[in-house]
Amino acid sequence: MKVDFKEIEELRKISGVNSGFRTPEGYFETLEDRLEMRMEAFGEEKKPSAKVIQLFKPMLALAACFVLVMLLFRYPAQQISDSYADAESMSTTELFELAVNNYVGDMELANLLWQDDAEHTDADTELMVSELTCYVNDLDLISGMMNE
Amino acid sequence: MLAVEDQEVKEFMDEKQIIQQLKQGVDKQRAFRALVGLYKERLYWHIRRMVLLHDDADDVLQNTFIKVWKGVESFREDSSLYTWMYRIATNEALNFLEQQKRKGFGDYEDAMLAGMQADSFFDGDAVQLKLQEAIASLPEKQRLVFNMRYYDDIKYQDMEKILDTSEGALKASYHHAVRKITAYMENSDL
Repeated sequence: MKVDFKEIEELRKISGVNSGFRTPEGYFETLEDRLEMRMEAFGEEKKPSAKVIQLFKPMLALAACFVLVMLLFRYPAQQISDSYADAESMSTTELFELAVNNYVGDMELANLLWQDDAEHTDADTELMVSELTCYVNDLDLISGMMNE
Repeated sequence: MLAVEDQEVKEFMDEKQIIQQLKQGVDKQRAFRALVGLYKERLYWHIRRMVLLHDDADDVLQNTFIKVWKGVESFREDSSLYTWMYRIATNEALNFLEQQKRKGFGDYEDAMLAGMQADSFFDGDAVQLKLQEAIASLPEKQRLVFNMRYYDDIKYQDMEKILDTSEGALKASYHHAVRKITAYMENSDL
């Protein structure tokens, strides 16, 4: 598309290139300092919350582990008894599938929670692994109880 | 002309050095101050012409530089730092306008122009006010292209990268904008 330079020149003639805007006196000279102050304030606002999360992380992890165990004991058992009046009619494969489905659902949730917090230390990773081990052990225990 | 080329070469050299320092974390704070010093005025005026009020422009400009600070380590250098920052500033200004539109009632452009006239940091004459009215009446994309070309004299090749639009489409937008503004100015009782 060809730009009509005549029209632009006409426009420049009547209005000029000055937009009529101005800034407060010394605005640009002080911008770097103001920006630095804002960035520092922003950094300090963020720090305490990060510390609080860090402090409560082990407790939160323990609580999550407890909830998961409780869910595993209560929810699947209740679901099994509701869905299948006669537990003996279920095959081992069906029981196993049910346990796996619940496990996968819980894992997805745990994964989402885990991804929400970007800062993880090695200690956090160890904690997560121990939680999972605890979870898998519980799963084995329940599986054993069901087979009995 | 030579002076302009010299200036461009100097900026290019400064830019390279600043990126290296920011990425390597060597004297990062000082390098960032240098970067702000180098581009603050151009980015401010680009934002100001979009949002019109000084306080809003100041806010959007600071947000732009904070985003640059946070994202500079992942800057891939396949475009110039200036183009990349201009893109961030444009997005920030557009997001700001979108938020204001969602918050407000009625015609946001009218409210913006009324605010501009009341702003103590606008002292344009009747013609400049009319021109701002004409620009505000344009669709967002045309307004952006017009401002970038008319006031900032940005090349279409750079604009292509900033706005992610082909050169042909940019030229067409500019052409339409100029026609509409000229018609608006001719029909106004100045």
